[in-house]
Amino acid sequence: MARVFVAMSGGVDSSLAAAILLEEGHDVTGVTMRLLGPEAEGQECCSADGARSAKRVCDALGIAHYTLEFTDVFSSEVVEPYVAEYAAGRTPNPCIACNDRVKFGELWRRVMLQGADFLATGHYARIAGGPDCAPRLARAVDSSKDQSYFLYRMTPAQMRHTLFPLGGMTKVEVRERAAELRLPSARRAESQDGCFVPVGGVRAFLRARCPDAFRAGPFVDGTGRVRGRHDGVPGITVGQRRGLGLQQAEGLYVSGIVPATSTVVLEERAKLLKSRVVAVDAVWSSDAGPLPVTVRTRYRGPEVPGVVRWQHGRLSVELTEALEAPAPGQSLVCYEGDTVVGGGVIEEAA
Amino acid sequence: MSDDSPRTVYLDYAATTPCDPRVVEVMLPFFTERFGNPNSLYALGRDGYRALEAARESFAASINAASPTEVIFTGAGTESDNAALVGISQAGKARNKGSHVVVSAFEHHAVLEPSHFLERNGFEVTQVRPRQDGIIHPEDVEAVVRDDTVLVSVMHANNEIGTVQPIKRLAEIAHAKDAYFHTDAIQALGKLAWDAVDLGVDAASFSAHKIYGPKGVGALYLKRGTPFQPLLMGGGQESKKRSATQNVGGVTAFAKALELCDEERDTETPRLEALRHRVIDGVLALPNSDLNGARDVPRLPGYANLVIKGIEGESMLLQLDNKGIAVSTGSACSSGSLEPSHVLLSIGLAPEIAHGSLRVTLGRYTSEGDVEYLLAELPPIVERLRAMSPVYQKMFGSGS
Repeated sequence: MARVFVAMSGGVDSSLAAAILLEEGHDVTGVTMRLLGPEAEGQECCSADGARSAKRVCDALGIAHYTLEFTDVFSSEVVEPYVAEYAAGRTPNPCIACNDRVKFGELWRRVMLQGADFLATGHYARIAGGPDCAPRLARAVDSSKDQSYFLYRMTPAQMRHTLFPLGGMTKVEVRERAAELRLPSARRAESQDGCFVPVGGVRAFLRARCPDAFRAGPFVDGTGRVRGRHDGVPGITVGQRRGLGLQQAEGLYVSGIVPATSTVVLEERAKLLKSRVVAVDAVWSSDAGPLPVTVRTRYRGPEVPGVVRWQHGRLSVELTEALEAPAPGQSLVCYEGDTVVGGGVIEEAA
Repeated sequence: MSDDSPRTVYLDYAATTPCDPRVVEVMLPFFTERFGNPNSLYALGRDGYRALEAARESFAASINAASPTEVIFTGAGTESDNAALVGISQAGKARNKGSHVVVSAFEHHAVLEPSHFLERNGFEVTQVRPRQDGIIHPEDVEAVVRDDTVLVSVMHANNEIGTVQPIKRLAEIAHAKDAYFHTDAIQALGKLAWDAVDLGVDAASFSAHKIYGPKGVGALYLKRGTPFQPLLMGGGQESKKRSATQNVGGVTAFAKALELCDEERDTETPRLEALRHRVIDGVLALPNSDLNGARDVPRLPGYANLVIKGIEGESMLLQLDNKGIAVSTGSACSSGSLEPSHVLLSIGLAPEIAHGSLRVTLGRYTSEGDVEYLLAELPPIVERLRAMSPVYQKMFGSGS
């Protein structure tokens, strides 16, 4: 029997994780992070509703539940960098920052302070490797639910004290167990923009937080011709086609953003294909390479083979199949079979 | 962490208290056979009315009000505070008393929030900070009251550190400028002999659940002639000062609870003081720990607030909870919040120090064994948290 704290959002996955651990005979405590201040009440995720729902689940399971304050760390480690990245014309991934700095950063630290053996979450991922070798992050059994992309920054120390009870289950099994346990089935839609951004309102959200970064500028095509105007680069993403407000740019996609001149470059789709990607601020658990891997440059994006080299915190990948529009600010994650060998934040692609 | 710990030791009497069985007993008939609305004219109503007024008389006698009509029953201590701050300030202003309000910086949020409300509605509010000893010094209030001050509100005993304020002197200072004086006496009632005439206040707030009565029952002392505009408007109950059908059982219980405190105070005070000294000495035996508020100032008998440097109060609380010990850090209303307590900041603690605060409040059912259990369980928890705390290592080097 281990002492386990389960990070609970109030949703079905983390509730099920808690129920499973309890059934396995562990000493389980639920904990919910309060991530947003009162001004954000009523938003989909991380709200007081989530904490209430988690508490209800814990009451039903007969275990203790705490709601802990994380608004400051969430703001400084997730929301502010998100705004700063967009202001710099990049495309941040707040879920990766949240897992790295908040869930497996501050929460993990505070749970370890409690003398817990493990922090558990409802993530779909697995931790592979026995007691003799360093643990490795691996894909969930159900590839349609796999969230290892979001978790690639986990360290071996964190993995040794982390449990993902859902990582070995299929979607059908999860649904059946949740129904059996009569856990709340409502689940928020997955957001691409981060739980703290009101639905559909990235630009408005950014405009309120970095008004100075909104400087009007041109959309320029590959020939240098101006194809339209925009009122600021924050929120525009490499690979984007829709929502640019352009009438006469059929078939053109955002291929680059130059914040200094507030210029957005548009190209035809074929020009967005890249076969070399460089990532910085990288984590790596193998030798310097060259190592054959498969890579992803966005969560739901395709996974393609390539050869990666590690050097001084930088990863460079030569892809054997070109990838469309890797966006600076998103993460490059490298897999060796089913295990994550490392990844980093995309700096450039060519 | 399971909820059925082997032992439960409740040391958070400032947050709330269990109902005394003797209080429960007098309350019960009002749920069933004596359910009449005290404002109805038939026999059941008259019975309720008699009970209501008996409670009021008993309560008024205990606090030495000039008349029972100076006691208004409310639905909570918070309601009493809100009603006093807003009701007296607005009615006073309407009588050309000015629009300046003075509150202390370490008031409960039930006073601070309405003071912010007043600020947004045409009043000017000045906060007076306590000194490091945990006391609002009269000269500091004297320095800020003005001819246009309408209300001064300073709590009788602070809910986090338990220090008792010089209310009589503060009321005199307010009156010298023709201002009204309100005190939040929610923590003080029952624990101190409370005398409205001697203290000379115009208004005071009380709550039943802090003195072994039920939750959801409060009272407001309002001296005759004090301007007041009610918060609740309706059927005109409580001399039109607080409309709503009275909670007859609740106020009967409140009066009984106060009566019991009055009866037992002379024996209970020295008993709790001795236990509190044991808590303070025991915690101060930990290196790098401190008492909040000076040790030699008046303090409620069962209250101790300490800082244990280099740890987070929350981590300590969760581990004590796991041992079945209920204590608090900061005030209960903001539990779950990592905001350092505004009370501890107001007496000059740095935020990182205030994070490691521990409030232990003892009461009627606290035994010596409870205190010893805390003092046995606390040191290993502190030692472990400090060993894992980079903050502590930085502040004091290794070892605890």
